[in-house]
Amino acid sequence: MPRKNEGECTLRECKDGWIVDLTGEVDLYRSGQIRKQFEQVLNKKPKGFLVNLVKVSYMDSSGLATLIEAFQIAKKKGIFFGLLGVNATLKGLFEITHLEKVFQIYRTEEEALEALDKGLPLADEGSDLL
Amino acid sequence: MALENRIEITFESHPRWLQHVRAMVRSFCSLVGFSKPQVHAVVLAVDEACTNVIRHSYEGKPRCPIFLECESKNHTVEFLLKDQGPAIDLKKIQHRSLDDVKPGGLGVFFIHKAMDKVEYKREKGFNVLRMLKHAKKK
Repeated sequence: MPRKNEGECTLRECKDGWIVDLTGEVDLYRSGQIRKQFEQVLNKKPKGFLVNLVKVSYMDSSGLATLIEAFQIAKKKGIFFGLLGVNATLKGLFEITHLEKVFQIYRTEEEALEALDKGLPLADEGSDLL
Repeated sequence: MALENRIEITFESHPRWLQHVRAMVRSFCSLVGFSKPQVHAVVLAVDEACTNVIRHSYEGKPRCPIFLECESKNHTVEFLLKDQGPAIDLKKIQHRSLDDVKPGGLGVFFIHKAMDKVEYKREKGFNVLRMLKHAKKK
């Protein structure tokens, strides 16, 4: 049986980096492919890497692992990493897993781009969690 | 046992089925009166349990059977998830510390967070995971 509402992972280049628009349900079936796409972009060492989650309707632990992995790669390479458009469902997930303390989360793309433009902060550079 | 309060499915250990399993569990939990946040938490927990079977019990092999039974009784839903993989080492079923931020290790956390009771056992060649969730008043 084919999957419905598969969701997409679309890459957009912006002035200082890349924005990834994720949509649909992010689970074990999709997270491997998404991880590869993230890595391809991060390997280009852009100044910034933003993940737009506004149209993500569901995320499991493999999706969270993909975000954590990207965050860690970004941190190692000195790339600005941010999430934007975190809806109520995902916010709840981030809260119970304490990831809201780890990720830089912006309400809108404009806010995220402004932070990227100012160059601060890089991926969680002040945290002692990693 | 009232059949209208019970559903049982068997599916292959391929991740493409997870979306359909979630839809079934979501629908079942909504029908028995769970609140929206409860539905989301339970769907995530069952999804994570199925994912663990695919990844760990069957080690990614895609054509092995997974059996899921859902039954509602007295405002409680019971999920029985069975697989025919090797006996699991119960000591290995642990989630990571939330402060040890790294990829992986959250699936078991979500299962225990959502469910009121979680039990693993080996029975007649099956790994059996029993999960219970009591419905709260909306």
